[in-house]
Amino acid sequence: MIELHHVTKEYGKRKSLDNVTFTFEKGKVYGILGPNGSGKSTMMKIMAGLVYPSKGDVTIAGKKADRKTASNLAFLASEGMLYPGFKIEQMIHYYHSQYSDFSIEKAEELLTFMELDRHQKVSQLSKGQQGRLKLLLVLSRQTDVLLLDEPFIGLDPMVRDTIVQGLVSFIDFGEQTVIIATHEITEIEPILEDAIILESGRITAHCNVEQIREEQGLSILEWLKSNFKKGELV
Amino acid sequence: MFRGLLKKDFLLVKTYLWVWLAAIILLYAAGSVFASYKGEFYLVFPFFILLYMGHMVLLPIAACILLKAEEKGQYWLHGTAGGKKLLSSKLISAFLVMIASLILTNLLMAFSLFISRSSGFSIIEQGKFPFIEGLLLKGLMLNGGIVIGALYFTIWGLFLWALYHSLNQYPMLKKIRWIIIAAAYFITNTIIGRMTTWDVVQSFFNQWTIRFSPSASNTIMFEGFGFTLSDGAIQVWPVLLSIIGLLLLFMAAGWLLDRKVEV
Repeated sequence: MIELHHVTKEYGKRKSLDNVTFTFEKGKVYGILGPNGSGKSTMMKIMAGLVYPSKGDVTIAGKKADRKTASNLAFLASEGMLYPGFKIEQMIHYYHSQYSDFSIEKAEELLTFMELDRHQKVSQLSKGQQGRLKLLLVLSRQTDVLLLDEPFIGLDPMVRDTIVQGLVSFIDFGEQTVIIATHEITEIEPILEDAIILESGRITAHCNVEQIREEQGLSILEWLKSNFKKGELV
Repeated sequence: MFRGLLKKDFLLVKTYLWVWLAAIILLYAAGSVFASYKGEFYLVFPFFILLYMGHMVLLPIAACILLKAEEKGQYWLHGTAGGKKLLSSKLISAFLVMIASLILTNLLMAFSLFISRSSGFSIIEQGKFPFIEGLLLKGLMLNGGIVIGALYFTIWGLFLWALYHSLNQYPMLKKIRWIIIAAAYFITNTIIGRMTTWDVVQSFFNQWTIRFSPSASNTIMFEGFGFTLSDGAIQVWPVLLSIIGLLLLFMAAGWLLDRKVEV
C-alpha cells in the first residue's frame, strides 16, 4: 500500500504537487492521467524516493519513501535508464547485479517476447526497441510495486500494443501494485482498475474504471474529457 | 552489487581509456622518431614532464566523464546502493584509468632513459644520468605526488558536482550555481591557506614530524593540501588533517547525493 499524506512539492514558488492525499491499494492497477505539467512525473518520482516532498510524507508498506525504496519498487523512467554504449545483455547483467529480485529467467523470457537481440547495442535500437528494453528491465524484477512513467511516449501504436501485451502477460495481477502515468489512455484502458486525474498538482477526480463503464457507460477517455473543460487537454 | 557498479563504470570509461593510451603511444612514437631524426633524443623528456603533470587532471576528467554519463535523468540514484557507494565506484574506475596511464608513462619513461644511456646523449655525465641516483625513490615520489594531487582535485570535484546538482531544486539559485560552487572552493581553500600560516598552527604542526632524508633541505608546499617538507622532515598533522578533510568531503558528497540531489 502506498500512502501520500498532504504531499506538496515546491520548486521555488511553483507547486508541482499541491497538498495531495491519496492511497494506492495493494494489488491494483492505477492510471495517473493528466495534461503535461500536471505533476504526474513528480508524483511518480516522489513515490520512487527520487524526489523528496517539501511538505507531507509518502509511505510505502508503512516505510517512508526514500532511495532505499528501490529495493522493492521498480520504476520505469521516461529518460536515463539505458546506457547507449552498452549491449542489451550488458544492460540485463547490470540490472541483475543491482537488484536482488531481478530474475534472469524472466528477462530471458521477456527478451524473446519483446523480440530483442541481446547482442545489439542500445545506441542502435529504435525508440520502440528502447521502450521494450526498459519494460523488460523493470518487469524482470519481482517487486511489490511497479511504477511506469510515460511508458508509451514517442512510440508507435504497434509498439504500444506490444508493451500492453507485455504488461498483461508479466504483471502479477492482485499482488503487484502497478501505477502508470500516461497520456495514451486508450491503450491501457483494458488493464486499468482505477484512474485518477491530476491537474495543476492536485487530484481532481478518481474513479473505478469498471464502475464508470457499467454505471455511466463511459470509456476512461470520455470520463477524462468530461472532467476537463474543453481545450484544457494537451 | 558493488562489483556490478564497478563493471558498469569501467564499461562506461573503457573506450576513452583505450583511445587515451593509444594517443600516448602514438604521440610518444612520433615525438621520439622526430627527436632521434634530429639527433636530439632528450627532447622527449619535456614531453614526459607535460604528460606526468597531465595525470593530475586525468583523474578528475575520467571521473567527470563517468558522472556525465549519469546526468541525463539521474536514474543511477534509483538503486539500493547509497551515494557513497555510487561515488566510490566512479572514483575507483577513474583511478584505474589514471593508474593504467601512469604505468604506461613510466614504462615509456624507463625505455627512454635506457635509450638515452645506451646512446650516450650529452645530458649523461660519466655514463650516468645526473639524477639516476635514487631514481626509483624519486619516481615513486613523483608518482605518489601525482596520485595525491589528482585525488585531491577529484574528491573536490565530486563534492562540487553533488553540490551543483543539489541546487537544482532551488530555481532562484539555479542561475548562479557556478558562482556558488566556485565560491565554495575558493573561500574554503583561502581560509585553510590563511590558517596554516598562523604561528600557533605552525607550532602545532611542528610537534609531529617524520625525518625521511637527512640531506634534504628544501621546503615544498602543496597548495590546498598544505603539508611541508622542511630540512628533510615532513609534518604529519597537515597530512593527516588533509586526509580527514578529503574523507569528510567525500562523505558530504555522498550525503548530498542521497538527500539533496533530485531527479
